[in-house]
Amino acid sequence: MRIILYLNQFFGQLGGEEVADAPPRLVTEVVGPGRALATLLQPDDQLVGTLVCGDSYFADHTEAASATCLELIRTLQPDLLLAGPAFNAGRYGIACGELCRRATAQLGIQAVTGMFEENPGVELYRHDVTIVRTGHNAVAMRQALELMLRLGRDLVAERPLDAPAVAGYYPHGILRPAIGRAVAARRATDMLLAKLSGQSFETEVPLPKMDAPPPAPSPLVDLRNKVVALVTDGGLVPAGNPDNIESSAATHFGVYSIEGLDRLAPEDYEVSHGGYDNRYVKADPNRLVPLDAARQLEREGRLGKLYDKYVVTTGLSNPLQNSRRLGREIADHLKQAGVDAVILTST
Amino acid sequence: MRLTLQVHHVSSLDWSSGPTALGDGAIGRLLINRADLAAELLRDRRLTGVHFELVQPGESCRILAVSDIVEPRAKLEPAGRDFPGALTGVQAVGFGTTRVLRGMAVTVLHPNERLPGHIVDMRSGGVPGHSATDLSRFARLHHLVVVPQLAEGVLGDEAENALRMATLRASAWLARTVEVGQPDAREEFTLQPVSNDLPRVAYVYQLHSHQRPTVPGEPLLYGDNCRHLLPTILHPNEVLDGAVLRAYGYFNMETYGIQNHGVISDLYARHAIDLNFVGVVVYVANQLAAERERATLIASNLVRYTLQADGAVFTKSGGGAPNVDMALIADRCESLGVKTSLILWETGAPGASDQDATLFNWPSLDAIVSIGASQLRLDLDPVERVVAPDHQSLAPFYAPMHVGPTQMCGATDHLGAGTLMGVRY
Amino acid sequence: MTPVAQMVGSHRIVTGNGIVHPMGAADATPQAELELRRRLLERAAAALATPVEDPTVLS
Repeated sequence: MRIILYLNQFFGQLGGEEVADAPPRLVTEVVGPGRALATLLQPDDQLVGTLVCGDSYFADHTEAASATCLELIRTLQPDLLLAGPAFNAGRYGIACGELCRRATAQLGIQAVTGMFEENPGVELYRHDVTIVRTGHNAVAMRQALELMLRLGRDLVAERPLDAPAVAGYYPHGILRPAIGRAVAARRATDMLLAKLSGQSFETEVPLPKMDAPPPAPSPLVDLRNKVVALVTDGGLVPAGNPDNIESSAATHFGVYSIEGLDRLAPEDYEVSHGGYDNRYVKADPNRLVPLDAARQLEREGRLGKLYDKYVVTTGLSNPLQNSRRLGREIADHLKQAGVDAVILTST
Repeated sequence: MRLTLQVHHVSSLDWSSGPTALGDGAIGRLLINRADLAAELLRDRRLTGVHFELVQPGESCRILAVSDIVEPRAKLEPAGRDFPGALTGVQAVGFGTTRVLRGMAVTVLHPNERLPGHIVDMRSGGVPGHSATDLSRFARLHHLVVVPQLAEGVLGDEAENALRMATLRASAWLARTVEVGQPDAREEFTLQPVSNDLPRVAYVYQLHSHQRPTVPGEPLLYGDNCRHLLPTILHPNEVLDGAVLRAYGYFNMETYGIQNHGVISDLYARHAIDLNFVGVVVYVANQLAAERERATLIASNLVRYTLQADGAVFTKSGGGAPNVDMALIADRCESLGVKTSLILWETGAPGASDQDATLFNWPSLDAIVSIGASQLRLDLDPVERVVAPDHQSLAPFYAPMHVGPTQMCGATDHLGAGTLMGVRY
Repeated sequence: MTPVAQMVGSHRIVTGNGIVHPMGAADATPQAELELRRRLLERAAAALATPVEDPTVLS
């Protein structure tokens, strides 16, 4: 295998923080971790070059730095890019992750990096890049390089990787079916007994890491001349579902007129949502999108002015990435329409 | 309470014009008088006809439109108490003697189901490198398939009830009527007192999720529809001996799976060995926030203060929303000092990442077993025989199929008897 | 499902009347249902006017 190693200013031996703004350059000598790597190579492996770039330079000029690095990589025609390992260094981790992602996406080159679990680069890149788990700092250098090299070899040979827990990398986030070593009940009791006796165990389903929410919008104290929109994720669509909103994991949203309507009439709507018993909402759609009560309050001056359309999508089993996109798109639409506030009704 | 199961092994099924009998002429051979069975089922006038099929393990065969699967069981002593509250009156069960015909199931099809519906595949492993029996316990069984015809006007919940009653009736009739010799095995279920140094373990059992509210007459617990059930405690024998049933809609849970309950079987097997199985807290996943909050408090208090459990295993039912009900109770148990492990089916969609699936993220819930996820796909092989209600074109179902695990009976078992899981790569 | 709303970071949350009819009540008279809807919307309007920092269930 022809291998390229990417290092930051420190491991690439340019210096410390004072040269973190060093632009990328190719180095032919074997420096820093490259020396350890050289001892791990097999007879037909070759370290064809070492790419060194300052962490700040990469962070502040990501496009230019990436372009330069990719060009340098391309000229050397490697089979594999090894970046870092970055251990717990955040900017370094992000640079390694970004470069690996681009090298694979744009040049089709396999790439592996390594990070400690708290490195922010892990969550940002593990879905797109193979990132091996490393220790906290360079004391763990040799083990990290060994693992990176081993997985790199598998990737280049197009061998499927073992499960992350076995092979030592962070999950890419793909779920595959497998047959467990014992029935679920047995595994659950085993896990509980281990937990009770203080022994280590590994959960089969890790909990999602939610981003911290953005700061709350300031309150709208006087609604009287504000525009309020009714939005729902309960899948209430006009009869015939004209825009084919899916009944699960909807990929788009619908915007439908309620102009001149005092209430939603059951014969005009249907429900495209498989996650709750639809019969009550079908019998009276106002139980989900409360137009009748909203119009009353609007006339009484208690709810501002209603936007003349309502917005609908289906939240059931909707991947987070998709939901976030839908949320942004719906918000954009409503902002352009001059809407000030949303009442979102959810099943 | 001591329950004795008299287990008779069935190794083949056949029709007979004589009496229904087991072991006549060949060990394990069950001869079924189908006219008698039909007469029994047609006592319910909501059925206007019924026909039967036999399917055996290893056959290149798919059964479609399954509405439920049940093991033939009948109480011998005290007699006349099968599925109390549903098939018979509300009576005490969980003790005495119950006959079991093991190695077979009665599999009832839904005549109105849009195909393929729920599938029993006797041949396909679904997961590369695995066999059909790895994927589902039902590939191991001999199936007596019942295809009912419902009377005109018997639709919706009424149809569901008719099918449920037919399932229970078939189960009890077969086990009660069959002529048998001595049982091949006896299984005893009793919670004998154990030493104080074994950890006290409870099972927290979500019976049903009212995201699909039950209707009057839908029998779940001694015949009650549990529409506003407050958490309570059952002896595990009550669950095993017919007092607990599943709701109408088929969702990762069959009656067979309650009779041969994954979690209860495992806790029983380990009782007095590495744990003290102290009891079963049952509850429902609620529709209203106040009911959910009430159930959280009562259930966790029962686990901590009444059962005085050190740890608890949790299962759920239904789809995604009831994950929250289970998580709320488990989290409160953890805050009261009770350790928990959860059995979870995840509800992502194709393209979902591993972040999407749980609907909760309390850090205390760090011991979760996977029984698969809705975004997984299984590849089924072509088959030579398809058994289905006969009004639709069956041609597509002989061909290879690409299905979600929930469609495969037994692949995803909320109650923990399956081995399918979702592994993160 | 207010716990889910809190988990994903919704700032202003009002509890509805159930999964299958968040703005309704199957066993109430139409008049009572409408009254319930009005009350829930008034709570929503009040929530919009309430300063919050973290995801909050407001009643």
